[in-house]
Amino acid sequence: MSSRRSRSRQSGASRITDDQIIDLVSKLQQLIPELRGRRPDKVSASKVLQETCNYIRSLHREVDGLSDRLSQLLASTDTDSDQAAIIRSLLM
Amino acid sequence: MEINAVNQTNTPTFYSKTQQNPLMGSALHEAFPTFQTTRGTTRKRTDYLKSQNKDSLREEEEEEEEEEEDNDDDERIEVKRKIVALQRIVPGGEALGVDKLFEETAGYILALQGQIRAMRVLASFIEGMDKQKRKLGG
Repeated sequence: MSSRRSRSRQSGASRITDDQIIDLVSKLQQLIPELRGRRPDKVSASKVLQETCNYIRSLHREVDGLSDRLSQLLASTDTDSDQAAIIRSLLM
Repeated sequence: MEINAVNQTNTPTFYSKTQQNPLMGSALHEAFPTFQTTRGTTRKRTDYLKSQNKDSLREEEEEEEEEEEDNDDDERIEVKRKIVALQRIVPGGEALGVDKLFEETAGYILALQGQIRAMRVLASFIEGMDKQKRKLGG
């Protein structure tokens, strides 16, 4: 397969080679907790991308959950507390 | 003590709840010249070989090679599809080429993780505050 790669012609500096993609994908892999320890050549690009999307979506869910929790906390804290008032005014 | 209308104010979301942008930019095609070029080059080479009237062994090799190419193509299509999905998830991703997209993705993940840490600290601080108040009879 590497021979095929070298046959493909890159006509400009902006073109991305397969090797570059592989390199970028393996770097991305190190950020995904689930894939971090595994050898880059054992994990396919497709899997890394899939796990990246999944991970970002789970981070989104976590942020949404924390957001709800913080809203509730701020809404239910005693209103005459100075600290609560300051925090509330910063965030709401 | 009257609970004021705090509950009626806008619920803060510490960033807007995630929305998937359904638009797919044409930047995608520019991001993948590699795959198209490779496919075109290989097909030309295969056609040339066929026109040479090679023996059956060579034809078998060609078929194997074509199948290998098809598998590689399938793989590339899969990867391409996932990169598109990533572009839609990462803010501003649709305008980015593949290498910038990955950098942006990495930054975005780190930002989200930081945001989550900050929100957790804030939540536990507020909870702690509450508990303290109740303990001291505030």
